[in-house]
Amino acid sequence: MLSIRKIWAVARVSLLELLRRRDVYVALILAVVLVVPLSTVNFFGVEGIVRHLREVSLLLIWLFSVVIAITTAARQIPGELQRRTILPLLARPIRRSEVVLGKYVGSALAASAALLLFYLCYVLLTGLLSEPQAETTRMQATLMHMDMTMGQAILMHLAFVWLLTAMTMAGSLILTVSANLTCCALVAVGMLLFGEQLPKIADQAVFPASWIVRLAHYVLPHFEFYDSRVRLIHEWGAYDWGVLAIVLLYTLLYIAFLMIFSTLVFNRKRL
Amino acid sequence: MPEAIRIDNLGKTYRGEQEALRNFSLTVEQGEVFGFLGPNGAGKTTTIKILLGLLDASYGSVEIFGQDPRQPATRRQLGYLPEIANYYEFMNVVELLRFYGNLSGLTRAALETRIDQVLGLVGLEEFRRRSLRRFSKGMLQRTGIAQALLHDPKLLILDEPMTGLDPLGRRQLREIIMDLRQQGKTVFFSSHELSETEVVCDRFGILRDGELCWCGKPGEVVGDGEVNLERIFLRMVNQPALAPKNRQAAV
Amino acid sequence: MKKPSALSILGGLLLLLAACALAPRLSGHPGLRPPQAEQPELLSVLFGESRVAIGERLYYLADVYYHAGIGYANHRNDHHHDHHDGHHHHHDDDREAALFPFAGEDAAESAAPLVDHCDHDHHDGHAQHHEDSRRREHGGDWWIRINRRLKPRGHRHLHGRREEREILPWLWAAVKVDPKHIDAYLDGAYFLAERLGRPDEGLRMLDEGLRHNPGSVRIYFARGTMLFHRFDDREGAFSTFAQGREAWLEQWEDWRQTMACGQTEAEQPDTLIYYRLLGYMGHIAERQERPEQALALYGEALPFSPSPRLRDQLLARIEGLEAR
Repeated sequence: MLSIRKIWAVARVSLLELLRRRDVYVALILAVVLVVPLSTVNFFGVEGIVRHLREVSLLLIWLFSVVIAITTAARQIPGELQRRTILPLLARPIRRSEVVLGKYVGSALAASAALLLFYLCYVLLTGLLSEPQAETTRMQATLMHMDMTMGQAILMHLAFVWLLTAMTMAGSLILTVSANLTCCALVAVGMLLFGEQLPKIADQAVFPASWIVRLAHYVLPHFEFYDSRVRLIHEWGAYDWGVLAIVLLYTLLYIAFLMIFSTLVFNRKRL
Repeated sequence: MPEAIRIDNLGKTYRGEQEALRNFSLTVEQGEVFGFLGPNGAGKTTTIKILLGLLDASYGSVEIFGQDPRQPATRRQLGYLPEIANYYEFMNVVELLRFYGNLSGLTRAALETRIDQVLGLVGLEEFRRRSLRRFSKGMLQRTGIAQALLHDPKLLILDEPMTGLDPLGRRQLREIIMDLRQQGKTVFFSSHELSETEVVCDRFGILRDGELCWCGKPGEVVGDGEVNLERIFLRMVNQPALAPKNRQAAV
Repeated sequence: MKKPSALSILGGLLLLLAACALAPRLSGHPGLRPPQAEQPELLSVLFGESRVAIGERLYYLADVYYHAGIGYANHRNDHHHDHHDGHHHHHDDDREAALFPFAGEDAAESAAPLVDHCDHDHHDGHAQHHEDSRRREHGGDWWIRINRRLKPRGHRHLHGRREEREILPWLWAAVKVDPKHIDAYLDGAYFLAERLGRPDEGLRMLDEGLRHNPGSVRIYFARGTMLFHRFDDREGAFSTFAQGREAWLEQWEDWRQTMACGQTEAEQPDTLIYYRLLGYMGHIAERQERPEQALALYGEALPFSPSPRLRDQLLARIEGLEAR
């Protein structure tokens, strides 16, 4: 039986590490530094233009969320092995599966916390910069951005981060840190950009490329599911809850598979 | 009453490598301080990893208080100090001890009391809030000792505990070990510091090429009347064949 | 580690200051840099030739924004070239009415050529696209079906000033990155003048476009129509159309000479835009009681009539003037 207390104890280490690392703050400052000057650009004297700010802000949030999720998860277990802190850790009454789960929960929570911080800044920034309607105050306009679509988009982005973290953690047990970082970044960005087009690409490609692309379509995590940027930027409205539930179920199943795989690999890992 | 450590005909072969341990048997009684000696590459760390349940044996068996060390519950009775004292450098010593205490199943109140006790024991009370990044090697070693003692284990496994400690720290550690013996705890430690070993341990064993080549008490006469531990050690590690009588004495 | 003393910090800062002060002087020193005919623009230095591709991408983003984030990889080519070049391949009869300002009741009341063609072609292009989409709507594996339900689908345009202004940043960026991007100037000017009620800004954008693309007949034409329709400035419009006509004639002459040299692959200048320039000029001359000039301009336009029906209409117009 897995112990929640031990899993949480391991997870807290990852959270504490992220809190004390400066990456998140640097990313946040960088995002603000990039977005705020953009909001001051005068486009032919026309005011109240916000969608391009949403576009750039969300692009940065997605970029940083990928970077933070991957770099946090990729360092967890290899870091323990490299520092040799894994020995006093595993010498405690703890199962290896609890260590893997704890590391995963910690990384996922750390990346989620960073993501929520980014979205908070996003809501405040775009809300304050947008032109309030005649009958609303600026604060009301800001709060109006926190609607159902926004809530769903954040939920989808969180699911993306959890899945990416799980994939990176699994990769960290079979690849070197740099190889894992590269592969995970490529898969994440590649699927975000081309995930939806893979069947078409496979149709147009010739053997064996067509088979490889089709295999990627069936095997790789479909990160493009979680990208709600168009919906948010262009106000397309909320997702149908049914499809959202399917995507979340898909995420949970994929994470469960990756965690079982990670535990099996870590159980056989020579220390 | 079961033995603290029982190693029976233990062997370990790493994949694609030569045998790290060969037909190795050893028993350590409860309340005993056992010194585990051997040159580099003799198999000391492999033995310790198997004792901690971190590594599976290729053959033979290991028991800690009559239980399999691979079971997490068995390790509740174990305290371990690794050879290289590296910890999470973004933490301070109290956070680190809280982390290990939580893993060992200590209650919150008991944990805070124990943290105060072990920090006092290793002389780190005034550095409670200092980041481990700013700890010296000796302070990290003391931190390691503190974490190993935190949950008041019945058996302490110390891998090269004297490494990095200044003379004061060594004396302190010696006193801690003596104190633990008085409390009836079992201590199993590997070391290169033969003089320290001679002072604190009740019994010691010498490992060579994965085989236990000598086991006995520091005062015991070996062969031609040699009683100095360093000379015994040097003779044992350079001697090609083992005296069957002494190999038997290990068990 | 020993802390640096205040003196060493001060010394370091002074050295840094000296280096900063020296750098601009050195960078302009003739001994360090060979003389250049012209200082290259910052964006040229940064992007080089890739700025054309980046400009095109930014321009495409404006189109994507106009369609509420839904990009159609190929529809831009069908749609925007139709707007400005007048290369119509379908529904010629429907379009003829708007080619000439005097084809309707009144030039000033006739719809801006840009507008009507825009939405017309636009919807034609998308109708085909949506037909394709509908065909693909069924079938596919689980992942395809989930994606289909997740991604916004459908054909939507931005509506009203509040929404339509959102495309401006991309057009602004497109012309900043690639000042040769004539379509971006034309679309930007159109949206500013026609959709956002900022004809002054639209005109300024076209002027900037002309500064970077001197001799662009399309920009002259757009500027002329804007002055004519939005500012009711017939003199200004006539003069702009005349400049466009001059530019077009130069291009025509160049093309003829190139052809004469045997380079038969040289692209012929757009005759439709010339026809429309002359049409507007003739119309203005006619309104300003200069029938001879109007007759001459209509006569010049006649050989370039895009269809027999328009040719007949123009002939009737000429005959009417001659009869007056």
